[in-house]
Amino acid sequence: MKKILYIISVVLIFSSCMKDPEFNAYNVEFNIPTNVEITLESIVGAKVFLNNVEKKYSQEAIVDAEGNVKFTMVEPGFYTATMSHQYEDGLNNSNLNAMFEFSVFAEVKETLPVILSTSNPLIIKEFYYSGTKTPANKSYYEGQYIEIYNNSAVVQYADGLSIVEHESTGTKTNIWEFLPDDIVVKMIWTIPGDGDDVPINPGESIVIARDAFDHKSDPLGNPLSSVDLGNADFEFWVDHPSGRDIDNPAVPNMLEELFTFRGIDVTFGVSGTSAIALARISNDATERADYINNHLIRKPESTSTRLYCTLEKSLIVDAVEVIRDEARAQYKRFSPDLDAGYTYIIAGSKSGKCIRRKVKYVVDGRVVYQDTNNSTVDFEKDVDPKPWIYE
Amino acid sequence: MNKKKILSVLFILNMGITLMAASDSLQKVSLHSFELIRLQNLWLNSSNPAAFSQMHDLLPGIINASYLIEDGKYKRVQRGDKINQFNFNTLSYAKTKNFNVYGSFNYERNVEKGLDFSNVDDPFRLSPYHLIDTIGNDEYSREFFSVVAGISTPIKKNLILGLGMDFRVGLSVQDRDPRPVNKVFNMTVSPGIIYTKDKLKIGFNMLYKYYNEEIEVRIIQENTDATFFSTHGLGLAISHESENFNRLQKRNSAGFDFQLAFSKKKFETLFGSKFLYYKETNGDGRKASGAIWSAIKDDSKLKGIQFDIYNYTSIKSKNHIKHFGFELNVNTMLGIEIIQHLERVGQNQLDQWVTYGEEEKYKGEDIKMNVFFEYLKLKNKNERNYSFKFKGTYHSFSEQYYIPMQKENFKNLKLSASIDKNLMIGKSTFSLSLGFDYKFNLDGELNLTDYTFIAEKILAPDYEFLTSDYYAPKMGFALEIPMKKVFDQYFIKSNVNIYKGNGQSRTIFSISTGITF
Repeated sequence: MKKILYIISVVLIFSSCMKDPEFNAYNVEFNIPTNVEITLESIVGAKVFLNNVEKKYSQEAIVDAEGNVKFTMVEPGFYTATMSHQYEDGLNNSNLNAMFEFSVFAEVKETLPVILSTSNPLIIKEFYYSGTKTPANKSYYEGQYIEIYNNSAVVQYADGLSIVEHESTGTKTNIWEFLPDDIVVKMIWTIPGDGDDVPINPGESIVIARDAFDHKSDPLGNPLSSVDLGNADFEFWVDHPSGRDIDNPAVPNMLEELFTFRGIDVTFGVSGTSAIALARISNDATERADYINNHLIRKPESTSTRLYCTLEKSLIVDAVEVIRDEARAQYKRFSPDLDAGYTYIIAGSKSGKCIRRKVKYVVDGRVVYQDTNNSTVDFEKDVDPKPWIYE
Repeated sequence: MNKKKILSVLFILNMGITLMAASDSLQKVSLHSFELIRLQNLWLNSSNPAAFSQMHDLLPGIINASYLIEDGKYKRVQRGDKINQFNFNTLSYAKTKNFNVYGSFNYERNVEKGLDFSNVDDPFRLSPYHLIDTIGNDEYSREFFSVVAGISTPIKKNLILGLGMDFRVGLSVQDRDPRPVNKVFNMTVSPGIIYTKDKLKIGFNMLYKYYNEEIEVRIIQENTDATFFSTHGLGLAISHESENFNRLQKRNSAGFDFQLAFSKKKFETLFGSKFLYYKETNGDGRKASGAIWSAIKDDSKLKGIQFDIYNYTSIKSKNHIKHFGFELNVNTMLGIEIIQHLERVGQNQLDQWVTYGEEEKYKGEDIKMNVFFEYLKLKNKNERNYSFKFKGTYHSFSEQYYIPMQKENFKNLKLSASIDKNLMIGKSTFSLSLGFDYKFNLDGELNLTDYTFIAEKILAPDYEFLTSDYYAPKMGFALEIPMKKVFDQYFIKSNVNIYKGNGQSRTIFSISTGITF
């Protein structure tokens, strides 16, 4: 009997613990190809981030003297590798961006495609799309606006510059990936003028309002709104049969050149579905109209007669990939040469928050905003709208 | 037969036992009878339902209503600042010619205010896999019913059979966005035998447990998303933005409890070892227009082994009982994550989570050891004069997450002492109890390479709480007034415990009233 009890006790004690986890870990190595434009010298020392898509943590490694970057002890899963490196190339700031999606279920040795771009003087400084609640707990998004800033040291002209919105709302796979050299837009609104009528001084901006009035105090506004757009530089006004879009006669209207889903007003997705860009198709209105007419396209494999416009990526001055939330990053629409990242408002719709570029430095009182063509690192999320304020 | 029907049948059975037992005990029953039967019949400390047949003279019963208030900031993050709880319960033992039966019914309603980041009914259940949100200052309302029933009968002169069942069902809800509705179901079934040979008794019972929690979280406010975290332990999690979220947590446990008892005159000792293997699965889902996926996502699995060794020894004489005890509980867990990716599959190109692999990522170990001594001075066979108790509790907890490497462990020691004294006031009995707990930390480490939102908001403050020293004075009284006819005593009792640590405190006050029979 004693022997049996002893055996039972020993068996119980030894079987009472779970085994140690048997987990997998792999090495991930990237080589960054160099060429005439992207030299080894320009990429050495750049930081590459390995981002776990599911768990949203990152590892960081530096590109070595051979143009390689190595991560060790990487857990299995789905990742993005991102790089956003800026260096001075003579007088210009050049950006090297990369965004590469891959999975890790074995050792990884890949080439990390890096895209070279230069910063443009006119940039989107602030985008307010989330709207607010009203005292009656209704949605109010009439206060939406886009602010364009002159990030250079010389005067820039904004007329002829178009604000465009990508066709996709970023909730499904981008169906236009078969057009790698273009973006497809559903809205083109252009600042009137022929190229030298709307100057923006260095370190200054213009604001383009959905509705140009003081949203805080106007009876048609919302006391919970925080924006006064009475002095907006331009407004989106839709000449709609309903006549419901308010037109401020003191504020010039944007030129409507494509508005596929023509409603009573221009509305950007309040929950972060509008990926927007600045495009300079032509400063000449006739040439612009011809270009748009010659680049209209229907959705493939669709019976819909709606028309969209394809724009060559070379026409894009600045682009911001706004998404709804982190989970929707997989439906990113702009290619890494336009925007290597994405941004969004964490607080969500009706939060009264906006996205704004980070300040890079201030020179002689002029604010220079960060522009690496990667909105993940360039933009602050969930900030209060501050049009015409540079800080 | 669904859960409600099972519960109804058991409730009726239980009330039958209560009524049957109302005049069944040969001895006068008081509040202390429940303590006495545990010391007089050591088998009741095991999980073997055949143990009820060991009960003879003293078969106590109680009908009780109680109210409890818990208040104070000395607590874990996911515990409410304030808890108000009402309980109604009945409990009784009864005996017929060949059968011993046991039944208990409990109704519990509570409101927990000021808890943070929890969407599960019990965030302290030993598992790294929970559902949380980022919103604090929540309020949970809960309503639970539980029924416990047991029966045992001798089938031979030296062989007793028993069967025990335990069911608990309830609903927990929050009334602020995001608002979870948690449907919780728990059950245990345990058949057992006790074999007697001379002064030796050998017992064995099987255990099967099932736990099920369905969580449905909604956001009433239109066009509003919340961030939900399916936690994976030590601050790691998978987050989802959604207007709603669903989760199903299921745990199956199976094992056995083996006992060996020896008695000789005044001396009785019971050794036991319990083994329980469990496996839990956690599945996520969401729906509605605001979600980009609605398919079921297999999140994780938890496997574990719970192992207990215990010994209870009593030395009884005519006017006192000396009781020694030792309990060791070891619970080891292995956490497995299921790696899935949302893809469009099949002819209809529907979004589905496609499984790419499973990874063992988490290990946890919880060890508790109790050593205690209790001395009970009796007035007569079934009435207490006074008692005192000393108890030492060693608690060790460690958990580790593999890649990124995260680690937490701590060891605590708690010393407790209490004294209880009965005083006669006319025919009534007044009892007073005083006690004191002192817990101190022996060792601890929280080593995180990734300091996430969860690590900052929950893990780190919880670690500070769990490794803090505290002391807790305790006081209680009870007044029992004899009743005529069916019932033995009417009682009213109250307890207050005050925990002080980390410059904060928490008070637990309870009052209850009822009858014993």
